[in-house]
Amino acid sequence: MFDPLHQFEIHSLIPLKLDGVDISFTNSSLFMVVTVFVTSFFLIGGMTRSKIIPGRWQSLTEMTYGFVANLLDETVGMKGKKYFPFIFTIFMFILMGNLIGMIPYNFTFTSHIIVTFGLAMIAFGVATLVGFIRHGLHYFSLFVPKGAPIYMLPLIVPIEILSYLSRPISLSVRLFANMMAGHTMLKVFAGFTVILGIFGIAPLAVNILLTAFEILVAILQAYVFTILTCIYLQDAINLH
Amino acid sequence: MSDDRALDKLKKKIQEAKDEAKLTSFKENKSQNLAGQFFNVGVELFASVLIGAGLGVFIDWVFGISPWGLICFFILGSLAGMLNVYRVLTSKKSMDKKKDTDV
Repeated sequence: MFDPLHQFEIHSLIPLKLDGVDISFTNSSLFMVVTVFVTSFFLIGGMTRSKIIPGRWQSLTEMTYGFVANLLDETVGMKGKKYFPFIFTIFMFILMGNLIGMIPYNFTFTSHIIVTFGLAMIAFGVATLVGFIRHGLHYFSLFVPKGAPIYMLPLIVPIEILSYLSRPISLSVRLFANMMAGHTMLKVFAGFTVILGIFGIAPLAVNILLTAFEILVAILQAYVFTILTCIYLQDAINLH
Repeated sequence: MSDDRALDKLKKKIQEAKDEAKLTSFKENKSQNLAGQFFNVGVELFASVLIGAGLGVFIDWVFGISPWGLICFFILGSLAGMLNVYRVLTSKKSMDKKKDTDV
């Protein structure tokens, strides 16, 4: 009756087939499109009538911009300025996706591992490409730690490579697990509230706290994803 | 002259507000990080072991040397996981130390 996992179900809204592959427009896709529109509205709307003394909306957009710019500056430094649009897009997309998912009846697309894995692969792919473009084959020296004795290299290099390859997985699992666990928990306590009748006030109170906590997690996870992308980019740009 | 004084006053006020904000945000960060850190440790370990085992199975499948690829790469993956955990914990610590000197 109260299936806490029901909220993660994907159903196609516009069935599409490409060469036998199902590429239907689903509720997940719908909310990604909604996220893009809301983000664009938020940023463009905040900056259209920009003044020297910003209003609430304008300062909010400027603060998000400043926050990400500062983050990039702290982790990567001056050389990272070029990649600001990429980092900012990732941050806003995940942040808005998480926050829009917090509104009841909305779908949280970041609670699906394939979505977060796609995002993580983009971040990882860009970082790796940047590394190879900037340093060429010399980028492989990332896998050789400084000062390691030569007879240890056959063991250290495979470990370093595996550690490098595990980045997209840990990046995607972190976001996905946080979002899915949080939303499942919210639904479980909501189910208790309905079942218990008048005593349902106790789980309801828990749910209110959890909602606040979930909003924190939504923002924090977007931040964590962004800062890790910055760190990977930093590794690629400023090779030791 | 009076303009200058007003400006100085405003500057002082802004600096005070900034200092306060810095202090509170720093305090919040510290308590909140702990839970996140433990979760991070689990994720890092899991991801590396998974990648190691996956690569091992793939190598077994390509070269037909089952189960040696799986055994070797599972162990290597676990080692990589421990390395990642070590890195997560030490980098956080050094960041905290850096913040301490900043504040």
